Amino acid sequence: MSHHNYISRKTKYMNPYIAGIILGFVLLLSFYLTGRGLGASGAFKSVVVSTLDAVSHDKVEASGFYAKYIADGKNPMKSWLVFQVLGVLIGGFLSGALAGRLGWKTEHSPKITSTKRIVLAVAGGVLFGFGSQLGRGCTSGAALSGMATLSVAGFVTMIAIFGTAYLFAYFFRKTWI
Amino acid sequence: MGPIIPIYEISQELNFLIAFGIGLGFGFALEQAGFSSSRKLAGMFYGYDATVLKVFFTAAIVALLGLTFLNNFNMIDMSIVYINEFYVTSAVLGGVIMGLGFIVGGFCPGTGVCAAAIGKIDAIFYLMGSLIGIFIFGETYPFWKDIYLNNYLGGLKISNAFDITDGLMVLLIIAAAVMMFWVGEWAEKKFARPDITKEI
Amino acid sequence: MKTREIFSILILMLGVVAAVMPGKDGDSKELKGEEMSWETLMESKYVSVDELAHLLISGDPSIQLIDLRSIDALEKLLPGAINIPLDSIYNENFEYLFDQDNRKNIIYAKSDSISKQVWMIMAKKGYPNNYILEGGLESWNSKILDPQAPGQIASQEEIDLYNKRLAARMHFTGAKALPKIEFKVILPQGGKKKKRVAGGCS
Repeated sequence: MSHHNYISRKTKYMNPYIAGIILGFVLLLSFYLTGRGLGASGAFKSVVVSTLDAVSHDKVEASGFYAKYIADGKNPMKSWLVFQVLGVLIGGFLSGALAGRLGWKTEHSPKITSTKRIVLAVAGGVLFGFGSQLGRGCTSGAALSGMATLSVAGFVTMIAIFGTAYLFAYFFRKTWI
Repeated sequence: MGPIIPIYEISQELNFLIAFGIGLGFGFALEQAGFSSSRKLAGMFYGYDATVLKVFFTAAIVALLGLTFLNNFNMIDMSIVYINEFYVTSAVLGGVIMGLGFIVGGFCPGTGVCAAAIGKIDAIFYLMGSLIGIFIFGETYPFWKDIYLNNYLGGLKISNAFDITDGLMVLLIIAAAVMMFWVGEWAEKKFARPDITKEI
Repeated sequence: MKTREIFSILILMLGVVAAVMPGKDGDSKELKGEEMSWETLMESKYVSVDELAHLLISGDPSIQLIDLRSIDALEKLLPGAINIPLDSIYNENFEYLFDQDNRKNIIYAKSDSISKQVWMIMAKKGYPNNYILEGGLESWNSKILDPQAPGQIASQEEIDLYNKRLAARMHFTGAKALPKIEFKVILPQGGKKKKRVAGGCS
C-alpha cells in the first residue's frame, strides 16, 4: 500500500478511508451542533481584516468588502472560524507529535531547490487566498461542506478546483515529481 | 433537535470552545490522513497517491449520509442549516484560481495549517501567501464586485437542479465515489512512484 | 477484503436506504417550478416614477426608499431615502432593512439594472417586501423633474399625466414651498425569525 513508509514505520499514515470516516463524522458533528460545516480561509480573512483595522480603522469601515466584519464594534478575531482553525493547528500538531512527524522541513521534488519551492508556495498561497474570497470559501468551506449539504455551489467549486489543478499539473510536474 | 447552537442559543464562550473542539478533530483527521505533506497531496494530480480523493469523498459521503438520516429522523432542522449560496460566475472563477493555487502551492488553507503545525516551512510561507491573496482581493474588491455578485441562484441544491429526491441524489453520488475510489487505487498502481511515496 | 471494498459496499447499502426513505417536504423546495417564475414575480414588483411621486407627495409612511448608488456618485437622495451602496448590501447593519415586513422598500439606482439584481438577491433570500423603481433615477429625472409637454394631438390622459408631473415637479424642485416630508425608519418588530445559519468561509 502506498501510504506505508518502508524505512521507518514512524511516519505511517492512517488508512485514508478510516481518516475520511473520522473527518466525515467531525463534519457531521459540526453541522449537528452549529448548522454549518468546516472552514479555513474565513479565519485568514479575519486575520487580514483585524490587521487592517489596527492600521486604518476608517478605511476598513468604508470598504464594502471588509466593513461587515467590524460592524457594531465586532472583533473579527472573535469568530467561530478563528477558533476552529486554532483547533486545526493544535489537532494537526498533536497528530504529528503522536506519529513522530514533527520537524522543520521543506518538501519538494529533488528537481527544484528549496528556495524555488518557497517562492512557489507563496505564489500558490496568493492565488488560493484570492480565489477563496472570490469563490466564497475554500476546499473545506465551499467544496467539502458544500457537498455534504448537496449544494450545487459546493460541487461546482470542487470540480473547478480539482479540474484546474489537473489541467495545470503537467506544467508544474517538476515541483512535485 | 439540531443544529444545537442556533436553536438553543448557547453562550459565546461555549460556542467558541465547541469550535475549537471541532477544529481539533478536523486537524487531527487531516494530519493522520497525510494532508500535511504537499507531495502526498500533489500525488493526486499525478496518480501516484490518491489519498486526497479517498479522504475527501469519504468524508463528504459520511457527512452527507449522516445529514440525510438525521433529517429523515427529524433530528436536525435542515431549513436552518447553511447551504452554500450559488453565484455561478464567482464559484467557477474562484474555483479555477484556487485550483491553480493548489497545484502551484501544494496546499489548500486547511491542509496548509496542518502542515505548518508539524513544522513544514513551505506551508508557513504558503499561509503567508494566502493572507496576501486575501488582502489583494479586499483591496481590489470594487473591481471584482460585479463578477462577485453576478448570476446568483440562491442556495441551490444539486437534487433540485436534477429534479430528483435528495435520497436518490445521495445514492448517485455514492455510486460515483465508489467508482472513483476504484480508479484511484488503480492509478496508484499504474503510476506508482515508490521513490516518492517512500519519502513522504 | 480490502478496506475500499468493505467501505464501498457499506456506503452503497446505506445509499440505497437513503434513496428509499421518504424524505421531507422541505427537502426540495428551493426550486420546483418556482425558479421560472422569479422574473414574473419581479415584474409585479415594479413601481413607476409616477406612482412614486404620488406616494411621496401624499407622504405615505409605508414606503422606504433605498438608494443603491455608491457614495461618491451621490448627488442628492430622493426625499426620505437612505443610502445603501451596492457593495454594502450584505452589511449586517443594512441587511435587516431589506428583510422586514413593515414597509415597502423601493430600491433605486441610476437606471434599474442594478436594482433588479439586488431585488433578485433579496427575493431569493426570502425577503418579500422589496420593490424596484422602474427606470431608476434616469426615468425620474426625465419624467418627473423635466416632463416633456405632450404634442398637439395628445389625449386627455396624456395631458392629465403631464399636469400631474408638472405639479410633482413643482413639489420636488421646491418651486412652490410645500412642507417637507420627513420619514422615520421604523425598525422591524415582532418575534425572532427562524433564520439560516451564516456559514461558509466568508
